[in-house]
Amino acid sequence: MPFKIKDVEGGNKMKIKIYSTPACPYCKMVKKYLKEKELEFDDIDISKNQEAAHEMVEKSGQMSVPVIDIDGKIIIGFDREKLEKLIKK
Amino acid sequence: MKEKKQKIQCEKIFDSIIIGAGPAGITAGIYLARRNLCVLIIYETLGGQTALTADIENYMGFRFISGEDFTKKLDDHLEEYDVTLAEEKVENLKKNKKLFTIETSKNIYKGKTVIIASGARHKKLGVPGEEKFLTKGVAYCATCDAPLFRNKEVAIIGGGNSALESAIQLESYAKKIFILTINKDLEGEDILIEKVRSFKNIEIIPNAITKEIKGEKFVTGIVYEKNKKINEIPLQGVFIEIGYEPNSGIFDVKKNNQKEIVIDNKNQTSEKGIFAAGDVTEVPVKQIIVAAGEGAKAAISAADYLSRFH
Repeated sequence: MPFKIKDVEGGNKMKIKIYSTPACPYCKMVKKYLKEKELEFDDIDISKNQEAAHEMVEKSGQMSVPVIDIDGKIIIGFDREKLEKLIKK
Repeated sequence: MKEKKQKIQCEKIFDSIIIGAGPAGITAGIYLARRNLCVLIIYETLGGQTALTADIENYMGFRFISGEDFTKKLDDHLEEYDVTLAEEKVENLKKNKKLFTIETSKNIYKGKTVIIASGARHKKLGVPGEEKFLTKGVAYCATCDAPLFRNKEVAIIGGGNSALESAIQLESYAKKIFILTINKDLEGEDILIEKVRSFKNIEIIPNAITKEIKGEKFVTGIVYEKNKKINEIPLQGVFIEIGYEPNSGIFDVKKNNQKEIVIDNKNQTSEKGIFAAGDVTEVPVKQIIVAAGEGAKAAISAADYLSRFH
C-alpha cells in the first residue's frame, strides 16, 4: 500500500459516493481500495434505490456500475490509476 | 493474518510463477505450496471469471454458491498457505537460459517455471455501435448492470450458458428480454434452457445475425438479419454473451487457431518449463471444476519438472 489517506493533505475532507450493485465485483474492488486508503464513502446500492440509479445515469452518462463521484468528479469502473490521482489531489 | 500451514523459505527466484488467480491459478498455487515450493501468483482479478459469475450450481460439494462466495472461499483457502501474491498486470514473459523473467506494470520477477492460468475474457461481437455504446447500454456483465435496466427492453446476444445466465439475471428487472442467437435454437444446459423458457417476458429469436447497435446518447435499438431480411427492435440495453476468448496474447507459446494455448496431457506448453491451465488453454470444456482440475495437473507437472531442475 503506497499511501494512506491521512497522509494526504485535505484527504479526509473529500466527499465520495460510490454507485454500486450488490453482486458487482468491480464495485467491491473499488470499496476495498477506498477502505484500504481509510477513506469514508457513501455506498449507494442502485438496485434498491431507483432515484439514485437515475441520478447516476444523469450525472455520468453511464449505464454501468461502479460509478464513483469524488467531489463531483466522476470515475467509471475500477480504475486504480484515476482513483489514485483524484484522491491525491 | 492467519497462521499459515507452513512457512516456505523463498529466495529471489521463485520455483513457480503462476499468472492468474482464477480456479486454475489458485488450485495450482495451493498444490505447489503443499510441496513446500516457493510460489508467486500474479493476478488482476482475484477469482477471475468466477468473481463475475452469479450462481454456481455445478461445482461438486456445493449445491449452490454465489460466484462472490466461491471466490471468497478460494481466497480463504489460499490464505492458509505461504504463497506470495501480486495484484499486477503481466506485460511480458521471457526466457533467459533456464530461468523465466516476467515483467509487470510494477516489478520484474524471476522463476524456474511458469504456469499460465490467465483465463479468458468476453468475446466482442464486432458490429458498429458496440464500442461506441459500451457502458451506455451495451454491457458484458449482467450480474453487475442488470439493476440499471429496470422496466427497460433489452437484448441478449448469444444462446449458450452465459446468455441463459444473463437472462436469469435480467428477468426480474427488464420489462422484456429478446435473446438473439445465430443458432437455430438455444444451446446449453437443459436446466437453464427450461428456466429461461418459463419466463413470461422472454422472446427467443433464433437464426438472427446481429448487424448493428443503434443509439444516440444511449442505446436505442438493435438491427439483425434473419432469413435474409433486416429487422430492427427498439430497446435500451444489449448484453453480449457470445463466449470467451483466451487471455493468451502476450505469451510466445504455440496456440491453436482460436488463440488458445496448446498443451499436452500434462499441461506442458510448447516451451519447456511453461505450463498452462484452465480457460486460456485448448482444454475443450470451460468450467470451474475443469479449470481447478487442470490447475492441479499443471502444478504437479511443474513440480515434477522442478524435481529434475538444476
